[in-house]
Amino acid sequence: MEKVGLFTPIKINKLVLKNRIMMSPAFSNSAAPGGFVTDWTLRHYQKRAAAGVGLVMVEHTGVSGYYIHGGNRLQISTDLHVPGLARLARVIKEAGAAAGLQIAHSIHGVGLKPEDLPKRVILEMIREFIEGARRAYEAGFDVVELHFAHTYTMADLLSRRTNKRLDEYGGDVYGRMKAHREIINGIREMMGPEVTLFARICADEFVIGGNTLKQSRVIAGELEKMGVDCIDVTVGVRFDDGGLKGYSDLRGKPTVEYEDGPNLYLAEDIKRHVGVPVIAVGKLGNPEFAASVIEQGRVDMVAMARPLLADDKWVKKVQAGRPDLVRTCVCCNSCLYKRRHPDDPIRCMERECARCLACLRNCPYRLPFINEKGRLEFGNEWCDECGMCAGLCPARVVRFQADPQYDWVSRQVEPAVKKLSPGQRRVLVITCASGPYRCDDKFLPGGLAHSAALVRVPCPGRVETVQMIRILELGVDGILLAGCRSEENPECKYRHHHPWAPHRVRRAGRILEEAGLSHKVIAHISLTGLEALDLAGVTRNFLNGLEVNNRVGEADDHRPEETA
Amino acid sequence: MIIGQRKPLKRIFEMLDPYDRILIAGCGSCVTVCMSGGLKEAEETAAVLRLHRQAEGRPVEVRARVVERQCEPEFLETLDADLPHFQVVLSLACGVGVQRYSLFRPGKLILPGLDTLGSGLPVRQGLWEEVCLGCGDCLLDQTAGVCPITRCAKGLLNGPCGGSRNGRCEANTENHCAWQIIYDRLAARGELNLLEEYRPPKDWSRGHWGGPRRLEREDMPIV
Repeated sequence: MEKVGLFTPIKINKLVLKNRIMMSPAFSNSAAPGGFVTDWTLRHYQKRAAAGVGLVMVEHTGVSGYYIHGGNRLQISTDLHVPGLARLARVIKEAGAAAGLQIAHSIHGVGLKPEDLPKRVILEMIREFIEGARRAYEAGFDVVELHFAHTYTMADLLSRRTNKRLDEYGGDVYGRMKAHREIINGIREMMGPEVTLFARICADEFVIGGNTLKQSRVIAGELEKMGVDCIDVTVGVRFDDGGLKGYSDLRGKPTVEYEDGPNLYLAEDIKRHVGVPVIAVGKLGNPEFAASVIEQGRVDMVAMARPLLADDKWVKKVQAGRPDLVRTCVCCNSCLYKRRHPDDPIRCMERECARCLACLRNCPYRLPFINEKGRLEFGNEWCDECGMCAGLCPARVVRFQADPQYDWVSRQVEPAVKKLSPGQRRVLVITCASGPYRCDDKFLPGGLAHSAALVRVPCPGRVETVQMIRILELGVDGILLAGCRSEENPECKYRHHHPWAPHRVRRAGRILEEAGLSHKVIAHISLTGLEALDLAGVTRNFLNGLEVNNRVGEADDHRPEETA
Repeated sequence: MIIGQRKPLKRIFEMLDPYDRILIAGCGSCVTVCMSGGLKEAEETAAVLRLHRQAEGRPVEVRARVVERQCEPEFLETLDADLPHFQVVLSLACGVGVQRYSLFRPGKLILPGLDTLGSGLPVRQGLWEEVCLGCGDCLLDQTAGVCPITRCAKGLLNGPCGGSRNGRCEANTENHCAWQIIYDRLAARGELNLLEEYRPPKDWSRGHWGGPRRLEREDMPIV
């Protein structure tokens, strides 16, 4: 058999793609109000198409103007959207790539579940999908991809966890696929068998009680029978368990701590069960790895979004045999989550790395290194996810999903502090979340529950000074960081940054003093085993100390007035 | 790189006292690397400021942003959308960044939030030290790669003063005597004869003391 590589053309239905790299549909937040294509959108896709991507799949485009995710999303809900999309398809095709459009519908965006939908809405949605596909083909797109994955309506319907409908659109896996069947049949009826139709499914939802391979194999097989030409296999991004940035979401956009292609085994399995081509996605930005995936026949095409954001010339450089020139995507997901303004379009934030080398110098496992080209690179095969680099990074480029960073204060601390009674002295106790020093919420008996809140983090050494100050902003009078004695936990993976806690507490204290806020107290304590069992006592001591300090502090505050 | 440290918070509070809509602009280059004016520090300053005003009972709106380099107007333009909303900008860049910003947006009040300490290098994690004054006439070839102008408290060019004690400086015993280091390094290389050479006086006219210096490449302007 002929050897197949990344740059071997592939024929799907009547469409011939020049290589096996697809720009994975990814939200670019660039649409104008009303869901129209902007110049930014055009440039964004045109650049990647010009650099040699075989198929540019344009991000999910709402078939409905109402049932749509938040953000600046593209729409194809009316004929008014067609001219803009036609321009988009033209620039992509003129740049040499095939153009695809992913169409989607979202009831999650308006806070609904499948069982809330009257049958009328479902029928309407099916019609909207068919109309959307018609408009996309009319606009000149070669491919339409139906978004049956992630947290979109069609995935909500497919999922055995969320689809609790009792009518014919629910029930077993075939019932849950009824709407999908009607959409595909409708499109085929209207446009004929010639047009190329993709479907994107979740091979594993990674939520409790969600679809796994067992269901998705059936789904993929059925889709093939219905006349889908290619199956794009993604995973996760279901918000049912962990919400945004939860495990399922994370699996869909594997971050720095994952190895290359963590979801490939799922796509490979689907490929064994269907005859049509299968596309894999998820951390395939390593050129050698991507090539090996195709060469070994594990899947037919690879899709990538973040690597193409990091370097729009990825394909060109790889094809020219210069993968060493590729600006590597470190999979920090900052393109998605760290935009400076919610309305900013996505772009790679990697360039903001100030190359301070703090990560390189301090990684306990010596993973970051300067490669032979003189560039900083992360070797993450042996990463223990201790998060030291994320805590050090002054530009917030390196980040871990499990780190108490970013929205940690607003997501965990704020609700905990809100429960405290406002009249009293209020303190926050931050303790370890794992190991023998894991402290339970139950430690707070009667009297303390009103004045002390407990928040757990992977390691108190991870809490940054700025976060301590932001916690004080919430109105608490004191913070107690109750860490362990690291010498008693030589196996803890956070042992390396445990010593930070006292340093950071000292710095925070100095800042408070400088700002004339010394009535607020931040303290650190290394718990012994006994103290860990009696955290209530430790907290009470801290509260008492706070009383004393405050009396002194108040006296200090009054003194200048008296003298004046 | 340029090193600097945040101004005393008291001074920052004083400067910002009349305002209640403040933008804190960090810089993503040198001062991020020396961990005094990057995104984290901007956020930290913003949080302290809010906390301070909270204690005073005067709420304040503070936003922390960072740009890649404040010495380039194109990067500063990325803040323009926010600018009209804020009365004042506290720039955490070095003196270069602050001046560039106030020249670039003359209508806006740009206040410095950082004291620039000069050109330095990281000695170890968390410690940076000034090593170059930019005197304009480098003599590191003669001094074993150690700058006496910067590292000697008196900037002596011809050898140590009488205050060098056990390799320490009399002006600040925490500092090593630069000339002791120079001597030791030259001795180790066997180049002590360098110290015996007669040399013309250093060309101080290329130093800063005649007003700002300029660097010009005539082939660079395109038009």
